[in-house]
Amino acid sequence: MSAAEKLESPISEEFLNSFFDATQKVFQTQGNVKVQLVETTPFPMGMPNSSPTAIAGVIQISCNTFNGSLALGFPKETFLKFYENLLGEACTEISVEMQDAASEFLNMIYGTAKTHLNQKGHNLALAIPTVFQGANLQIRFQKDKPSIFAEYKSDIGPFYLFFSGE
Amino acid sequence: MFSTDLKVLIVDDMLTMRKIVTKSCRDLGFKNFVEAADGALAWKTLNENPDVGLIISDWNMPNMSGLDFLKRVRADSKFAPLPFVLLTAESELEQVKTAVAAGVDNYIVKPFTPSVLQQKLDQVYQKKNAA
Repeated sequence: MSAAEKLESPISEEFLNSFFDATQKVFQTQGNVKVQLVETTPFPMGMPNSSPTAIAGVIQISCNTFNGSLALGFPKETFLKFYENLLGEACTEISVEMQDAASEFLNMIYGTAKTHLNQKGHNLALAIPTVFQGANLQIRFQKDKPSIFAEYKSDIGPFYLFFSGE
Repeated sequence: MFSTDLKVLIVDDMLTMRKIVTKSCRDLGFKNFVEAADGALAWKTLNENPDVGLIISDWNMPNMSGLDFLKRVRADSKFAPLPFVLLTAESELEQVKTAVAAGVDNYIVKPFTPSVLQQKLDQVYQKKNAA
Protein backbone atom coordinates (compact mmCIF):
# COMPACT_ATOMS: atom_id res chain seq x y z
CA MET A 1 0.00 0.00 0.00
CA SER A 2 1.46 3.35 -1.01
CA ALA A 3 1.58 6.40 1.20
CA ALA A 4 -1.03 8.01 -0.99
CA GLU A 5 -3.48 5.20 -0.21
CA LYS A 6 -3.14 5.62 3.55
CA LEU A 7 -4.76 9.01 3.81
CA GLU A 8 -8.15 10.46 3.21
CA SER A 9 -6.92 12.26 0.16
CA PRO A 10 -8.75 15.32 -1.13
CA ILE A 11 -7.19 14.57 -4.53
CA SER A 12 -7.74 11.40 -6.57
CA GLU A 13 -5.35 8.60 -5.58
CA GLU A 14 -4.87 7.63 -9.21
CA PHE A 15 -3.81 11.19 -9.98
CA LEU A 16 -1.45 11.45 -7.00
CA ASN A 17 0.10 8.02 -7.48
CA SER A 18 0.89 8.81 -11.11
CA PHE A 19 2.91 11.81 -9.97
CA PHE A 20 4.57 9.85 -7.14
CA ASP A 21 5.55 7.05 -9.55
CA ALA A 22 6.80 9.61 -12.07
CA THR A 23 8.89 11.33 -9.39
CA GLN A 24 10.63 8.09 -8.45
CA LYS A 25 11.26 7.22 -12.10
CA VAL A 26 12.64 10.65 -13.05
CA PHE A 27 14.99 10.95 -10.07
CA GLN A 28 16.20 7.37 -10.45
CA THR A 29 16.65 7.43 -14.22
CA GLN A 30 17.88 10.95 -14.94
CA GLY A 31 19.32 11.93 -11.59
CA ASN A 32 20.66 8.52 -10.55
CA VAL A 33 19.12 9.12 -7.12
CA LYS A 34 16.95 6.65 -5.24
CA VAL A 35 14.08 8.47 -3.57
CA GLN A 36 11.45 7.36 -1.10
CA LEU A 37 8.09 8.92 -0.44
CA VAL A 38 7.97 9.33 3.33
CA GLU A 39 4.57 10.82 3.93
CA THR A 40 1.69 12.56 2.24
CA THR A 41 -0.37 14.96 4.28
CA PRO A 42 -3.33 17.16 3.44
CA PHE A 43 -2.62 20.82 4.07
CA PRO A 44 -1.76 22.24 6.59
CA MET A 45 -0.49 19.40 8.82
CA GLY A 46 2.59 18.43 6.88
CA MET A 47 4.36 21.66 6.06
CA PRO A 48 8.13 21.38 6.51
CA ASN A 49 9.60 23.16 9.51
CA SER A 50 13.22 22.11 9.59
CA SER A 51 14.14 22.23 5.90
CA PRO A 52 12.96 25.45 4.29
CA THR A 53 12.53 25.43 0.54
CA ALA A 54 15.26 27.38 -1.28
CA ILE A 55 14.23 26.65 -4.86
CA ALA A 56 11.05 25.33 -6.44
CA GLY A 57 9.80 24.51 -9.88
CA VAL A 58 6.09 25.23 -10.29
CA ILE A 59 3.67 24.06 -12.97
CA GLN A 60 -0.01 24.84 -13.48
CA ILE A 61 -2.26 21.82 -13.88
CA SER A 62 -5.73 21.89 -15.37
CA CYS A 63 -7.49 18.59 -15.98
CA ASN A 64 -10.63 16.60 -15.21
CA THR A 65 -9.30 15.65 -11.76
CA PHE A 66 -7.39 18.63 -10.43
CA ASN A 67 -7.04 22.34 -11.02
CA GLY A 68 -4.17 24.10 -9.33
CA SER A 69 -0.42 23.97 -9.20
CA LEU A 70 2.29 21.44 -8.48
CA ALA A 71 5.59 22.57 -6.98
CA LEU A 72 8.80 20.56 -6.68
CA GLY A 73 10.71 22.15 -3.80
CA PHE A 74 14.27 21.61 -2.56
CA PRO A 75 16.11 22.79 0.53
CA LYS A 76 19.39 24.45 -0.48
CA GLU A 77 21.68 21.59 0.59
CA THR A 78 19.57 18.99 -1.20
CA PHE A 79 19.53 21.00 -4.42
CA LEU A 80 23.30 21.54 -4.39
CA LYS A 81 23.92 17.81 -3.87
CA PHE A 82 21.33 16.98 -6.53
CA TYR A 83 23.05 19.27 -9.04
CA GLU A 84 26.50 17.88 -8.24
CA ASN A 85 25.17 14.34 -8.57
CA LEU A 86 23.53 15.21 -11.88
CA LEU A 87 26.39 17.02 -13.61
CA GLY A 88 29.47 16.55 -11.46
CA GLU A 89 29.65 20.29 -10.74
CA ALA A 90 30.16 21.02 -7.03
CA CYS A 91 28.79 24.40 -5.92
CA THR A 92 28.21 26.16 -2.60
CA GLU A 93 25.44 28.47 -3.77
CA ILE A 94 22.50 28.13 -6.16
CA SER A 95 23.35 30.21 -9.22
CA VAL A 96 20.97 31.49 -11.89
CA GLU A 97 22.47 28.96 -14.33
CA MET A 98 21.50 26.09 -12.03
CA GLN A 99 17.89 27.11 -11.48
CA ASP A 100 16.37 25.44 -14.50
CA ALA A 101 17.31 22.00 -13.14
CA ALA A 102 14.34 22.33 -10.77
CA SER A 103 11.92 23.22 -13.56
CA GLU A 104 13.35 20.63 -15.97
CA PHE A 105 12.92 17.82 -13.44
CA LEU A 106 9.38 18.99 -12.72
CA ASN A 107 8.77 19.09 -16.47
CA MET A 108 9.90 15.46 -16.77
CA ILE A 109 7.74 14.43 -13.80
CA TYR A 110 4.75 16.20 -15.31
CA GLY A 111 5.34 14.72 -18.78
CA THR A 112 5.70 11.18 -17.41
CA ALA A 113 2.57 11.47 -15.26
CA LYS A 114 0.65 13.20 -18.06
CA THR A 115 1.31 10.34 -20.48
CA HIS A 116 0.00 7.83 -17.95
CA LEU A 117 -2.99 9.88 -16.80
CA ASN A 118 -4.11 10.86 -20.29
CA GLN A 119 -4.35 7.18 -21.20
CA LYS A 120 -6.96 7.06 -18.43
CA GLY A 121 -8.85 10.11 -19.66
CA HIS A 122 -7.63 12.83 -17.30
CA ASN A 123 -6.87 15.26 -20.16
CA LEU A 124 -3.82 17.04 -18.84
CA ALA A 125 -2.71 19.79 -21.19
CA LEU A 126 0.78 20.88 -22.23
CA ALA A 127 2.22 23.08 -19.48
CA ILE A 128 5.44 25.03 -19.02
CA PRO A 129 7.09 25.09 -15.57
CA THR A 130 8.57 28.18 -13.97
CA VAL A 131 11.15 28.40 -11.19
CA PHE A 132 11.32 30.41 -7.97
CA GLN A 133 14.33 30.87 -5.74
CA GLY A 134 14.60 32.52 -2.32
CA ALA A 135 16.03 32.05 1.17
CA ASN A 136 12.81 30.57 2.58
CA LEU A 137 10.13 30.11 -0.06
CA GLN A 138 6.59 29.72 1.24
CA ILE A 139 4.07 27.67 -0.69
CA ARG A 140 0.60 29.17 -0.25
CA PHE A 141 -2.44 26.91 0.03
CA GLN A 142 -6.08 27.93 -0.19
CA LYS A 143 -7.86 26.62 2.91
CA ASP A 144 -11.00 25.39 1.18
CA LYS A 145 -9.25 23.78 -1.80
CA PRO A 146 -7.71 20.31 -2.07
CA SER A 147 -4.02 20.44 -1.25
CA ILE A 148 -1.40 17.81 -0.48
CA PHE A 149 2.14 18.06 0.84
CA ALA A 150 4.36 15.07 -0.01
CA GLU A 151 7.71 14.62 1.70
CA TYR A 152 10.52 12.60 0.14
CA LYS A 153 13.84 11.38 1.49
CA SER A 154 16.82 10.43 -0.64
CA ASP A 155 20.60 10.00 -0.62
CA ILE A 156 20.90 13.70 -1.43
CA GLY A 157 18.50 14.84 1.29
CA PRO A 158 14.81 15.68 1.61
CA PHE A 159 12.66 17.37 -1.03
CA TYR A 160 8.96 18.00 -1.47
CA LEU A 161 5.99 17.97 -3.79
CA PHE A 162 3.16 20.43 -3.12
CA PHE A 163 -0.19 19.96 -4.83
CA SER A 164 -2.10 23.17 -4.28
CA GLY A 165 -5.70 23.34 -5.48
CA GLU A 166 -7.30 26.51 -6.78
CA MET B 1 27.76 3.32 -34.02
CA PHE B 2 28.34 6.84 -35.29
CA SER B 3 31.93 8.07 -35.40
CA THR B 4 32.60 9.86 -32.14
CA ASP B 5 34.39 12.53 -34.19
CA LEU B 6 31.00 13.78 -35.40
CA LYS B 7 30.03 17.29 -34.34
CA VAL B 8 26.76 17.08 -32.38
CA LEU B 9 24.24 19.94 -32.30
CA ILE B 10 22.36 19.87 -28.98
CA VAL B 11 19.20 22.00 -28.80
CA ASP B 12 17.23 22.67 -25.61
CA ASP B 13 15.90 25.81 -23.96
CA MET B 14 17.01 24.46 -20.57
CA LEU B 15 20.74 24.86 -19.92
CA THR B 16 20.67 21.97 -17.45
CA MET B 17 19.21 19.66 -20.07
CA ARG B 18 21.83 20.70 -22.62
CA LYS B 19 24.47 19.85 -20.03
CA ILE B 20 22.83 16.48 -19.29
CA VAL B 21 22.68 15.56 -22.99
CA THR B 22 26.26 16.76 -23.55
CA LYS B 23 27.47 14.73 -20.58
CA SER B 24 25.62 11.65 -21.82
CA CYS B 25 27.14 12.09 -25.29
CA ARG B 26 30.62 12.54 -23.77
CA ASP B 27 30.05 9.27 -21.89
CA LEU B 28 29.50 7.65 -25.30
CA GLY B 29 32.76 9.13 -26.61
CA PHE B 30 31.56 12.19 -28.54
CA LYS B 31 33.87 15.18 -28.20
CA ASN B 32 32.62 17.94 -30.51
CA PHE B 33 29.50 19.90 -29.61
CA VAL B 34 27.64 23.05 -30.51
CA GLU B 35 24.53 24.17 -28.62
CA ALA B 36 21.44 26.28 -29.17
CA ALA B 37 18.57 27.32 -26.89
CA ASP B 38 15.68 27.06 -29.39
CA GLY B 39 14.89 25.99 -32.94
CA ALA B 40 15.55 29.39 -34.48
CA LEU B 41 18.97 29.66 -32.86
CA ALA B 42 19.64 26.05 -33.82
CA TRP B 43 18.97 26.85 -37.48
CA LYS B 44 21.44 29.74 -37.27
CA THR B 45 24.00 27.53 -35.50
CA LEU B 46 23.58 24.81 -38.09
CA ASN B 47 24.26 27.23 -40.93
CA GLU B 48 27.34 28.50 -39.12
CA ASN B 49 28.48 24.90 -38.53
CA PRO B 50 27.77 22.98 -41.74
CA ASP B 51 30.01 20.16 -40.46
CA VAL B 52 27.39 19.16 -37.86
CA GLY B 53 26.80 15.41 -38.25
CA LEU B 54 24.06 14.71 -35.70
CA ILE B 55 21.24 16.74 -34.17
CA ILE B 56 19.65 16.00 -30.78
CA SER B 57 16.84 18.45 -30.10
CA ASP B 58 14.20 19.05 -27.47
CA TRP B 59 10.61 19.29 -28.74
CA ASN B 60 8.97 21.99 -26.60
CA MET B 61 10.91 25.23 -26.91
CA PRO B 62 10.04 28.91 -27.35
CA ASN B 63 10.43 30.78 -30.66
CA MET B 64 10.76 27.63 -32.78
CA SER B 65 9.91 24.15 -31.51
CA GLY B 66 12.03 21.09 -32.13
CA LEU B 67 9.39 19.81 -34.51
CA ASP B 68 9.46 23.01 -36.59
CA PHE B 69 13.27 22.92 -36.57
CA LEU B 70 13.12 19.32 -37.81
CA LYS B 71 10.78 20.35 -40.64
CA ARG B 72 13.13 23.18 -41.62
CA VAL B 73 16.11 20.82 -41.68
CA ARG B 74 14.27 18.25 -43.77
CA ALA B 75 13.12 20.94 -46.23
CA ASP B 76 16.69 22.08 -46.94
CA SER B 77 18.55 19.91 -49.45
CA LYS B 78 21.90 20.65 -47.81
CA PHE B 79 20.85 19.48 -44.35
CA ALA B 80 17.96 17.10 -45.07
CA PRO B 81 19.97 13.84 -44.70
CA LEU B 82 21.24 14.76 -41.21
CA PRO B 83 20.42 12.28 -38.44
CA PHE B 84 17.85 14.00 -36.21
CA VAL B 85 16.72 12.76 -32.78
CA LEU B 86 13.92 14.46 -30.83
CA LEU B 87 13.82 14.60 -27.04
CA THR B 88 10.57 15.06 -25.18
CA ALA B 89 9.09 14.56 -21.74
CA GLU B 90 5.99 12.98 -23.24
CA SER B 91 5.45 9.70 -25.05
CA GLU B 92 1.91 10.03 -26.33
CA LEU B 93 1.18 8.16 -29.53
CA GLU B 94 -0.03 11.19 -31.46
CA GLN B 95 3.26 12.98 -30.76
CA VAL B 96 5.25 10.02 -32.02
CA LYS B 97 3.16 9.88 -35.19
CA THR B 98 3.63 13.60 -35.79
CA ALA B 99 7.39 13.35 -35.34
CA VAL B 100 7.68 10.33 -37.66
CA ALA B 101 5.59 12.08 -40.31
CA ALA B 102 7.96 15.07 -40.13
CA GLY B 103 10.95 12.82 -40.75
CA VAL B 104 12.48 12.28 -37.32
CA ASP B 105 15.01 9.44 -37.18
CA ASN B 106 14.37 8.53 -33.56
CA TYR B 107 12.63 9.73 -30.46
CA ILE B 108 13.87 9.74 -26.85
CA VAL B 109 11.50 10.18 -23.94
CA LYS B 110 12.89 12.01 -20.91
CA PRO B 111 14.02 10.79 -18.43
CA PHE B 112 16.64 8.67 -20.20
CA THR B 113 19.89 6.92 -19.34
CA PRO B 114 23.12 7.09 -21.40
CA SER B 115 22.49 3.47 -22.43
CA VAL B 116 19.09 4.43 -23.85
CA LEU B 117 20.75 7.28 -25.76
CA GLN B 118 23.32 4.84 -27.14
CA GLN B 119 20.60 2.37 -28.14
CA LYS B 120 18.59 5.08 -29.93
CA LEU B 121 21.68 6.41 -31.74
CA ASP B 122 22.64 2.88 -32.80
CA GLN B 123 19.15 2.47 -34.28
CA VAL B 124 19.54 5.74 -36.20
CA TYR B 125 22.96 4.68 -37.48
CA GLN B 126 21.62 1.34 -38.67
CA LYS B 127 18.65 3.00 -40.33
CA LYS B 128 20.82 5.54 -42.13
CA ASN B 129 23.26 2.89 -43.31
CA ALA B 130 20.52 0.56 -44.49
CA ALA B 131 18.94 3.33 -46.58
